Amino acid sequence: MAGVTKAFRQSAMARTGGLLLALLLAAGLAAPWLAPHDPLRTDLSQRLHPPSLDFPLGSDQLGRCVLSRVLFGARVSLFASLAASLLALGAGLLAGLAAGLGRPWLQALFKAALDIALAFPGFLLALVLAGALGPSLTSLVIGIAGASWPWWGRLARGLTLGAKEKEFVLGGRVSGVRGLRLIRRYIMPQIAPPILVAASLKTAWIILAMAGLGYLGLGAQPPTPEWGAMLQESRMYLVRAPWLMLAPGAAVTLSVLGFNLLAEGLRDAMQVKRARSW
Amino acid sequence: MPEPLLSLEGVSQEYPHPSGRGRLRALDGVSLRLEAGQALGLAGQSGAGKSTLTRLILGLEAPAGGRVLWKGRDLAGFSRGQRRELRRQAQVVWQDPFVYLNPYYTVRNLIAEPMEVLGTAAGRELEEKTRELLDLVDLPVNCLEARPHELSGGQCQRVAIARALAPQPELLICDEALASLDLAQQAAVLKLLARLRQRLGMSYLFISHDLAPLAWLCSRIAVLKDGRLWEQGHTAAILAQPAHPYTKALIEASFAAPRLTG
Amino acid sequence: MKLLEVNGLTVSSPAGDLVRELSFSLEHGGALGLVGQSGAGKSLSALALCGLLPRPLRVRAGEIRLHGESIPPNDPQAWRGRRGGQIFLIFQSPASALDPVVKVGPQIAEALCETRGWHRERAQERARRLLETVALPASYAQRYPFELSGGMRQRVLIATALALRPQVLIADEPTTGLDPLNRMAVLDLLHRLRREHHTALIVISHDLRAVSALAPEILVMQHGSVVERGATSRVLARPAHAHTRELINALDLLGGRHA
Repeated sequence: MAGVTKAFRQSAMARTGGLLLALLLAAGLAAPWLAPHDPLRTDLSQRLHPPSLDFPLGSDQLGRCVLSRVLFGARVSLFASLAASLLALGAGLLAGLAAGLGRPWLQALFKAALDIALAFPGFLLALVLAGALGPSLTSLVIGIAGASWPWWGRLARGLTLGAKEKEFVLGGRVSGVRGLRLIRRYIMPQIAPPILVAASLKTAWIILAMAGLGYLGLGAQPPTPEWGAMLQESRMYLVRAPWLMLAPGAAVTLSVLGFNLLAEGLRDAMQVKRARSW
Repeated sequence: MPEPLLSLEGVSQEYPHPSGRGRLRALDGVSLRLEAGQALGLAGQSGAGKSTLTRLILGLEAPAGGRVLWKGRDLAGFSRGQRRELRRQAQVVWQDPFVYLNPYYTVRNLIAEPMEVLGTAAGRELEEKTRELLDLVDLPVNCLEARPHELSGGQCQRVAIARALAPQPELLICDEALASLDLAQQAAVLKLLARLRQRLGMSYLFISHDLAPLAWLCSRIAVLKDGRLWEQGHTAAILAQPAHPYTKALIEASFAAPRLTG
Repeated sequence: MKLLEVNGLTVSSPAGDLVRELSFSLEHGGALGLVGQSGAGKSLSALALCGLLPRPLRVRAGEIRLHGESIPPNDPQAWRGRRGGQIFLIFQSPASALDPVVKVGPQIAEALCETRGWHRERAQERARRLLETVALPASYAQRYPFELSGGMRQRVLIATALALRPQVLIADEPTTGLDPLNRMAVLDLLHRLRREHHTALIVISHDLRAVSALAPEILVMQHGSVVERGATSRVLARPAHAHTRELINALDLLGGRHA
């Protein structure tokens, strides 16, 4: 992954995005120590306080500390998004490689499967899947992964088809290279950079989808703090307590921004062509 | 008489025409014999069907007509195991090492890989053999960690030769192996190939559009044009008395120093 | 007055000099050969002589005079009007020098329209005749570059050069990668271009055969510097520099001096 190191060295965008994400993740991990209050403890005498010293980001309709909930929410929202993203990436990559490198019948099979899966609109598919599996965070992760893997599959297949036509792949085959070694050392180095860039962009999309579906009541159930669900709950107090919406909204926005910046930076750095020789 | 190492019997090959209509005949009834230990030169312009021939011999595609025989056995009837064995016994040095060598590899990886894949060497022995091969093609040890793009074309082609020699092949196919090098590098690589053959005793199928290196390296020459074999025979005989006007023109263009000045 | 004069041309990258103190002069209808191995700085010199050096390379020192008029070497504006009509460069790989999505005929015609202000029809007709001049059927005007072989593409570039009738034609590796028959044909065409149109030639190649066939005077380059210069016949017969001898030895093996 020399390309990633180079991206951070060369691109201020990649550094900014990376730093932003690292801070958000660290905040999530350190939530038990950073949070001033228990995110679940309700106290109706403290409801809807504006930001103050005691409640830095205010309190919600049940008197819970918004800052604490946003911090703990990072654990749920970010980690669930990453999990969904990795799951989809893994499945899609496998399908894409099979559709690009397998025996002809396997290629045809996976191509057909991808085409069919791609015919469904992603967000709706995630909604239906998560809904059918029952309201829980796990089912939301599976739903989103199930809706987005074909997208990875198509990307990986296209990249693989291009990568396997390179002359050096033929050169490798003729000297007896095949199977996993061919994939790992001839195909993956070619397709990894664009996939990494796409992964960063797609994770941003998944964070939004996650928040969107959480807003619709899927995924993490109350009282678990989740950014999408927090946005939904704050809707009724938009005028009386706008800080309720501001905090989780900002968290979602910053995470998406972080992944987008990272993607841009990686793209710039990794598309640098091999040095020309005169 | 022993079986020839490689023989082609009336081999034809066709591809779909790029325009989408009809078929393009790349090879038409080509018959060739290559005895073990022999160096056969195959001359022909680009588009004559030389690369198709390489792919057929390696079993990468099947001929539309005729038979390709390896040690007397038809490639069409090869099992997967036999095909793998063929991959070891016949190696190729391609035209442009920069596109045919894995750019993500170091020279060490490139040379060691065939031995790793075939399981012929491991650990310390692998390292030793890698260094031996590097030495065999006159490259210094300090380029082991270099990547292809850090080398010159000539050096890179030497790495490709070392990689091809790693499985100890019986046949080395040089498919326009000089064409992407400059003239001085061409001469050096050609001399290296001649020396290696003397030392290791393998067969060569040397494919080139230029007759001069063929004539220097090979005892027999075959001339391919438009997918057909126009003539073949001993190098000296063909150079002295080409039967076909095309061969004659090719010889003149390859050997005569062009004198246009004045 | 000399047609082209180059004095102390030095091409640099941020890392150092890549071509050092290249000097020569060329008369109308003259020819000069530049020979050396890859990496010797030949192609960079060619690019510098057309104001086409890619950044961050630049001419650090030296002077280029065309018709006695000094041209600022790093000013793209100064070169724009001169490329094509006055100086024309034939690239090493004809594949990248031709526009892949424009048919060959219109491509030549466009050059005529732009530099001479001809009407389209007249230019198209002339393009077809130029293709015949370079021994390609006129019907090839309707083909795309990818439908032609390397040798044919090189001829199309020469046809473009014929159309523009530049005063100086720089041919960078014009025969590299061509088979012997095409090599001879291309050399012959370049020779005719010089004899019939009085175009001055700069031939650049690693192949002494190509250079010595066309140019009565050659410069031998190594690692960015000229190591030997002189009349071609003298250099071939009595090479003074070790590197020149190396290049000649390569020829012995590869057929340039047999028969």
